[in-house]
Amino acid sequence: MKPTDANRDPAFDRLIARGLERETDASGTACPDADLLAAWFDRSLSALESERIEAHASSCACCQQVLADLARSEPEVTRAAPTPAPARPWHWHWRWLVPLATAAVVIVVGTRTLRAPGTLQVRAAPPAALGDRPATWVDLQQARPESRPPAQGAAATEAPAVPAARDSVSAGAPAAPRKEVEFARAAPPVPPPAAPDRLAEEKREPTRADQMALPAAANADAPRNMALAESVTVAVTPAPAAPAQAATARTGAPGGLGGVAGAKADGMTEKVMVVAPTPPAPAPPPVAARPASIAREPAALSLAPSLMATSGTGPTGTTATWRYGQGGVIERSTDRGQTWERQASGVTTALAAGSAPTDRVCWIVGERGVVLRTTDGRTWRRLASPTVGDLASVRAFSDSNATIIASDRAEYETTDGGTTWRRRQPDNWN
Amino acid sequence: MPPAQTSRVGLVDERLLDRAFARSNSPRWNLSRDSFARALERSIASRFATEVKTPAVVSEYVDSLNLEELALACACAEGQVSAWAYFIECHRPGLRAAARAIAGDDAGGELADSIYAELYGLEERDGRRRSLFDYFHGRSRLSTWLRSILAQRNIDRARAARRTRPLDEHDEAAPDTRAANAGADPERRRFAELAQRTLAAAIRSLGPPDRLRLSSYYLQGLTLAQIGRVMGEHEATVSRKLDRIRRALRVNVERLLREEHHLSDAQVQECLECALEDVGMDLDEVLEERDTGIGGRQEKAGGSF
Repeated sequence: MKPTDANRDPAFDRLIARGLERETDASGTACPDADLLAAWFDRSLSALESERIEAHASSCACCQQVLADLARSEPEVTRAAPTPAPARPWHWHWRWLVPLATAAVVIVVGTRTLRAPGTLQVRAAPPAALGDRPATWVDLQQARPESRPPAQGAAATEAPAVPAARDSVSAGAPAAPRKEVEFARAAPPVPPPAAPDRLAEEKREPTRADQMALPAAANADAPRNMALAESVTVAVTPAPAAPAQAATARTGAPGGLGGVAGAKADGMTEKVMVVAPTPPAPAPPPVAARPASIAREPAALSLAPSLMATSGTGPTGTTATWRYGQGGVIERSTDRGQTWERQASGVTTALAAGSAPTDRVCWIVGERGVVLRTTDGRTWRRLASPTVGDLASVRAFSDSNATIIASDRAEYETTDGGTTWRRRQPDNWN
Repeated sequence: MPPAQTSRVGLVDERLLDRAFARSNSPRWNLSRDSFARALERSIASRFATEVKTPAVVSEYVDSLNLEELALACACAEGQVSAWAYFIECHRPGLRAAARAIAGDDAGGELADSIYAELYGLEERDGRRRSLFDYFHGRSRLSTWLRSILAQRNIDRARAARRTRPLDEHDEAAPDTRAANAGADPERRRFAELAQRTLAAAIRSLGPPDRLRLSSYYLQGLTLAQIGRVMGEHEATVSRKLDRIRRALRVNVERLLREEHHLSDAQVQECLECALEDVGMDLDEVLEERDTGIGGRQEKAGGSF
């Protein structure tokens, strides 16, 4: 039989209150100390401890009172605590560096695609489609689907001279034979990064780190293309000087948040685009100036990571560095960036930020609420996310404690390894 | 006088201690490595008093601590001037605001000021000044711990005040509800007690989280948002769960009355009405006593679910 009154009944509420009153112990004996109650309130206890505290507090008037007072007295808006060493909020850097890095990656892609002869090339709209005006990133995005040929065959039509696709974007003589690799498409769509409005160019000498970064930049658009279940053409023209290095021994110096540097073959000078408040840079040549061809290749191989998180020295004296970026790609190095080991992330969305409190624990967040964590340094697990929006930053203290910041500046913290998240007010009270 | 140093007991591995010390920013307060190590060991000893600890578990525990605040508390306990200056500058306003929220505007300032002596430590034991900061183990934020201390002190003060209240005030504050109900119909009285016993059983059958939600709402008078803060949930979730619990309670009470006490539907209704009638006679007085008793100032629930 249904309850006689399923709706709110103030009289029954009074009965409940009376019943609770009778069932609550007000003696205040064997109560946990303030430290434990505060830790429970801050969600800092282990699951077992939390259960104990909760079980006690559920029937203890004193502890209920303390918890109630903690809730009542929590400052809603707090001021930033003065610190002897001036420091910006930790997420300040990320807030700007992430979009800057993204913009730079986008620009490098554009530059590489549109300028460098014999490098990454995309079959885009014919010159007529773009007219005489300079080709832009948007042009590329709009033009690309039309130019994609039907996906055919999973295998590369020809063994690449450069082992891996992410290593394959190399400069070389235009006349050199072109190696084609075709991409398989399977991943969900990822929103395109915003194209920067104003750009400036800066010239610099290539570094070893560039060799890893350029493929990431060159293929930063790959996830979008993957979403279309089609293929993108990457024409690989091996440079005469580029050795057929083993893909398993990719090298690259830790670039911090760099990731914006484009990779290139030895001896080549390249241009890296950076965002600057200057008039628009000279437009790249029309897309059609560079022919493109179609090939296939495992998508992940084209998505080199571009951001890094380096742990402190672990208990065993080792330091680990993770780098990550577009397409959910994660790589780890334990030899300070000499070699990198790719790790399965289980996601294909762009990863925006990471934090590694130890050499085995690392948290990485990305678009669409992706929160990843490894606790053994090797296997990644996607955690429940408090938001489906894009995440911009993460600060991890351990494998259980972390704070993440969404792109809308909402902060969430977990103290149980991502099982539960709590919306966090900007609390600089202490 | 600086506190006497107690010896370490070796609960912390040296490499772990190095890592924790580096994270703690202890030198900022002129806190020595040994002093920090002792604070860390106190924390570890407190955490693993009844549990087996392995190096990995201890390492994980140490990594989860608020080490910077632990160092600050440790430095304050040692009486480091720079640490105290920082503490006063950063925490005093929040401490006073929290005290006012807990004890009211009038008593809040006094409550906040009363714990400074304890924080510094006026008593000595074994040649060492006993600071309240020694009991902060870094498991929570320092601000939360301070507010927790304030809340407990407020309860102590309320209890002490109640103990010293004259007997005639006790009589006025706690009217004899039995006398008020003495003239009630015995059958209705029996029904009322039956319903209340059944409800008590239904409440006891709730899980601790549900019971804590109910108590926070009905007894502590927290708003849904505040309950959400306590339970780590969004207030909409709290509202939904409270509604579910309340419905479940009602269903269970009615089911128990029917199945265990073999009451008809009409009798169940009458039983609840009697209980509500009985509660109506004394609940207001009981709640009033609670509001002025253990917790001092109480806020009424600010929302409904």
